[in-house]
Amino acid sequence: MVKVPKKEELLNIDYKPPKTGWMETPVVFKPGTWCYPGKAESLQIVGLANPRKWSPEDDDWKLPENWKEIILEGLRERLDRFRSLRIFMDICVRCGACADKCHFYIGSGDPKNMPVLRAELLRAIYRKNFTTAGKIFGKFAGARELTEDVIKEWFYYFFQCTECRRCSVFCPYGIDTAEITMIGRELLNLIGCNIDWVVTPVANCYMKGNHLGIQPHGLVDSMEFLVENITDITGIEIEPTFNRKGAEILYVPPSGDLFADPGTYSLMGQLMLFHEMGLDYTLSTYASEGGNFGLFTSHEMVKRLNAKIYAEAKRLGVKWILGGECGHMWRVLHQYMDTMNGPADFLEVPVSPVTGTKFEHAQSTKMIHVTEFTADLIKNNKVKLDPSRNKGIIVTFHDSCNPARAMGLLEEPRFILKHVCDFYEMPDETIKEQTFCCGGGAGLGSDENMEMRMRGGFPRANAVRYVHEKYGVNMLSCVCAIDRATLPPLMHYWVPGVEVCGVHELVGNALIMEGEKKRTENLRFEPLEGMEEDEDV
Amino acid sequence: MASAARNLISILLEKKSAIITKWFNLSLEIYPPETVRNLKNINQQFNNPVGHTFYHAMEGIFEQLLQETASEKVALYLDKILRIKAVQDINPSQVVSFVFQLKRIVREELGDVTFSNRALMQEFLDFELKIDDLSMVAFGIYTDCREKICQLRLAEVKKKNEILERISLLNGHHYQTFDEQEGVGDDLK
Repeated sequence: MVKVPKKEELLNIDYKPPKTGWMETPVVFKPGTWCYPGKAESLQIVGLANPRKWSPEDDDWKLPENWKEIILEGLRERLDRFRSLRIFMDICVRCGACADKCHFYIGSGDPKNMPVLRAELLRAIYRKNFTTAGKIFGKFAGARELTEDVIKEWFYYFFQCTECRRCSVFCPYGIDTAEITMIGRELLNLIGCNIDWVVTPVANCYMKGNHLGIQPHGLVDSMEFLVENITDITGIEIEPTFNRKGAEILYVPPSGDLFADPGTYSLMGQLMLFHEMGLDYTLSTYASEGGNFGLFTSHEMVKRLNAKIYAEAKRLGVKWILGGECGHMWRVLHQYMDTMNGPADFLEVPVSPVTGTKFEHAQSTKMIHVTEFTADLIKNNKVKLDPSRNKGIIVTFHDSCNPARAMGLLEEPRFILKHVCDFYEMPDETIKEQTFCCGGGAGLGSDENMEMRMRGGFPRANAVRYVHEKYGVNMLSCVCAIDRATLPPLMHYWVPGVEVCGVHELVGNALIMEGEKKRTENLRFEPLEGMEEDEDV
Repeated sequence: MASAARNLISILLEKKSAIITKWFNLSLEIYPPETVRNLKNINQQFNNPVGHTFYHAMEGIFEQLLQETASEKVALYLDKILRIKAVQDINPSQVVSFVFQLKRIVREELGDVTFSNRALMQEFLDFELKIDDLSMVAFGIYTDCREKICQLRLAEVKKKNEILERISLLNGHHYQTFDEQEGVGDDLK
């Protein structure tokens, strides 16, 4: 007979979570909090290990027979290769300075999202297998046996870190938890545990040059579509070129901006500005992606996918490279490209052909960010702007994690925005080097991960809500293609009434172009306030 | 009746700070102890948005309950709390439990005096009815939030499909729908 609970039992609700230690609390994969695993086909394209059909919800993850050996050998190899990793494994004193700095921890309240504990997932295995104390004292020394449950926990939490590095800003030892996550993901990749939102863009990028897998003729078609839109709005025909040898500049935007709104508007703004400045630039149909999801896979994959940028610059014979509004792309370009695929001694230090400014900070990489280029134009009064065309748009700026923390791009976008629209800053502890992540970076911006994204994005949304209520902010501007994809749903959920745009969309609206027709619509084809077309009565 | 109402409200006003603090602390029991410590830093609006929002929204709700008729503001305060809880790893009963916990806290704070005074007791029962009404509003908001998440996901799936379809056409390929793709979107089929 079925046991019916007594009334007292039903009423005895314990709201407190189980009192098990973190090592004894296994992961439960609930819908909305994890990403689909990588498609076998995509893994095969780039030669990643163990391609198969599986799901994190399955009991059997179909790991290779010697998975344990592979992981431990992989960890040993990386401890030898990366001195930083060995230091990060050893020096954490668990002071807790990072604990409440992670947006996923703040939003979820799950202690394993504290950066210190996320790193501890790897450290416990390191101690057990690579330290004497851990081998002898086991759990008492914070060591832990490597089991399949540990792998599941790694998968859950290393794909719940957006590698934003906010925690590392507060670590007194400078431990970079993003690098620990990167190593964790590398190790998981050795046994075929990865996510499709990373692996398929990687495979596309490797085969076709961009995340979306757009072939050369597709890129040209998409560009024509944007160019037609620009003509409709301004009456001016612009002619961007692809693979034009001998151009002065190679321009590399994130491919998402060719296809997905609101990125398309931002790309249109950049094309309009380049036209107005008479820039001698070209795009490449193979180096058609600034983003690099190799960063979320392995160091080898970063190098492999990044190689095309210098290779295409060399093939086309350009002098320097201009990069679009992208986020993680800039960690790769700024911190890794030079050592991985340089030296780019065939290029010149970037010099603006319009202002003559030499961008000395890019002496080594020979590549600058488009907001650096535009801010210099505005500073030197080379651009005619009419901010009134952005009337009614009240803007704040979201510092994308990588441009802010990995390359120090803090003032240029703000300088531009202050010249083209009404601009209000979010509170200090949520911007610049302390910026909060969008919650969907590092490959976690998939639809199936929506609930987790809403948790992780809450601290950012909370700051936006503050300026929305205080100043009437209705536009969240950013310089990252992933942000432009993940922030709109975040705003819809937390702060309805706030839209998302790239910085150059607002530049494009305000830009006064030689010979343009009277502007009546903004780049979204919305009527411009006070500049409506005269209607025949 | 009016005099009794003033009495109850004046007692609750007097104990407001204690009630809100106890209510807030009790509502945090669904979180792990490490997290509760952080959530209690209620003055950190931007570094502890969850704790700050919970505390100030609960304060707002309580103040509304002390009004003769609670305004629509009460739903806004509830929304602030429930919107957060709706995306956290807690079950629905835990999500709305804080509303019912207010009854317990108020009873404890009022003590035996209330129950020996008939007029006050009646006022207290009316006050509890207000909390019951609040719970129904809370259920509604919670389900709206969950539905919103589904809508956002569907909107994103649709957008992604449109982009993929466009790219496939541009590339001259047949577009693979979810049904034709192995392993991806299984839960949507």
